[in-house]
Amino acid sequence: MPDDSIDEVYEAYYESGSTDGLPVIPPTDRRVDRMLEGTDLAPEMEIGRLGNRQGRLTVETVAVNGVMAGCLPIHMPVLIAGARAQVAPGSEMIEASVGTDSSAHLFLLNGPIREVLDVNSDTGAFGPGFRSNQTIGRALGLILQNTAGHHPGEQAMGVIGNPFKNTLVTGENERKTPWEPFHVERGYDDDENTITVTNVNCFVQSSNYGRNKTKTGILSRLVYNTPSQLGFRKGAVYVISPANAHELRDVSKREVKEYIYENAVVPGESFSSPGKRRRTPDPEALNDVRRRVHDSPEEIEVVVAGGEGAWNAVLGPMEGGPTTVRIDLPDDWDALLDDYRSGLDRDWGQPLHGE
Amino acid sequence: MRDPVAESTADETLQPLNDRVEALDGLRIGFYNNAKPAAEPVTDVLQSLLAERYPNATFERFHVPARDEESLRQIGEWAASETDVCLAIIGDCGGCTRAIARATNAVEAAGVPAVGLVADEFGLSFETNARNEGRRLRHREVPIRSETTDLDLIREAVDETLLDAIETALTEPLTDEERGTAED
Repeated sequence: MPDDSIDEVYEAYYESGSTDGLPVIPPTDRRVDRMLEGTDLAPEMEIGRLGNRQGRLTVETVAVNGVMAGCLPIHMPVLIAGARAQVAPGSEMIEASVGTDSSAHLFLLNGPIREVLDVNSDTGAFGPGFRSNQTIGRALGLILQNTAGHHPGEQAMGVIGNPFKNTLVTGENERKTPWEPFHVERGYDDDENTITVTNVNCFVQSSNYGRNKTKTGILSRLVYNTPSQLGFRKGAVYVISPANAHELRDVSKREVKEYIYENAVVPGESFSSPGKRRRTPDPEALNDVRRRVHDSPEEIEVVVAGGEGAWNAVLGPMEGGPTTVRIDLPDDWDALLDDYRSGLDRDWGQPLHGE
Repeated sequence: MRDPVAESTADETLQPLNDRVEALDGLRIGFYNNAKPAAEPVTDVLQSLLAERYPNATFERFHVPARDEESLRQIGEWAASETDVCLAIIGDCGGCTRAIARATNAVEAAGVPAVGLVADEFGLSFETNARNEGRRLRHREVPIRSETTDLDLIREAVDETLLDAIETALTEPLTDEERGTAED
């Protein structure tokens, strides 16, 4: 095996197909053992299996890939919950990974752990800059790749590819949402921590400045920017900025979903009958017949994230999920934070959450 | 240094392919169809040409999406009871090439020699899927683009040369690697 030199490890692991192309932190025994401090689970414990090769995803596999991605031991609870979401059959990680549609894996964090780990859910929520957002997504991508054994052109057959496959992690901006948070909507308590995964093809942003900054204007823009490709698969995640969510504060989340469901339509010739998971073109349909993009309001997800300003995003169509898993913390969590939380310190940008 | 790659029994124990048949004429030739739009027209053209070449062969067809263990079990059961050799058609996208490799493996696991058919450029995907299934499954590339359903293009691609290649895949003796006896 290669030694501890970053150059040599990077090149050796790149050659063997164990990286995502970027440099990795060498997973030395010392670093991996330190990473395993972040869990009470035994290293050899199997979380599940992934891919045709039935790769055995263990706690240690999570730790090794977490080290390579630049995670801290305090990220381990999130990574383990994320790995559990990945192996859950309903998350369809393998289908999304091998498909020609190049879906990326979206991970949404809810609960107090977002603030503890400085997971960005504010300005630049989906962008670079924050260690937790970047390394958690990268680690989960490496875990999938190195467990299922997927590489572009071999089994990962995304035609166009997707830059969001590198990492697509955000927290919900629970401080600024007028609605109950996503995980509460799904039956968890406010103070529970969760990670949710789904696979999404597109990331479309739209603005609501000026005359669009009304309830109808905001909702109409969400509808207008719904990717027409959504008819191919089910559902989408609508990410609404805090400012626009505030404008919609008198409207329930359910009403937002119903509005989108009622109004997001495509020409009837685009897809055949609603209700089919994959709709094939229907040459018999009339041009003036319009069909709803979504089969029901239930396949529409609404999340509040981002900073100030009137921009929103639609992520979809979804393939698999959303699969939500609770994040369990180890017994010595507070001591772990004392030891490793400084790895998330920063003296730039928006204030640390909770400060 | 720790290894980031998860362990897999598929990497450790290579399963052998079934011995090939001596000739195809007089056999029950099975077509597994994964319901991709190109699968049926490719099967139609292939069956027509195979019937000309092997007048004493009979043909069986089976269709179920190869998405889960139950469907793979059904494919194996059908192949074992209804066929002597089997063609799995067609891998022309990421998910369906994976499914075709899994279906081909299910047929081999049921004791029937099989070959998977994939579209242009999906051979490597089939090979890696097959390797991860733990068997050096045989495949042939049909020289059509992904998702081709145009019958004229399919007739052009499914010719005597492809038939020769399919025949070879089902009759040529196994290599040591395919027997699972090769030393890595």
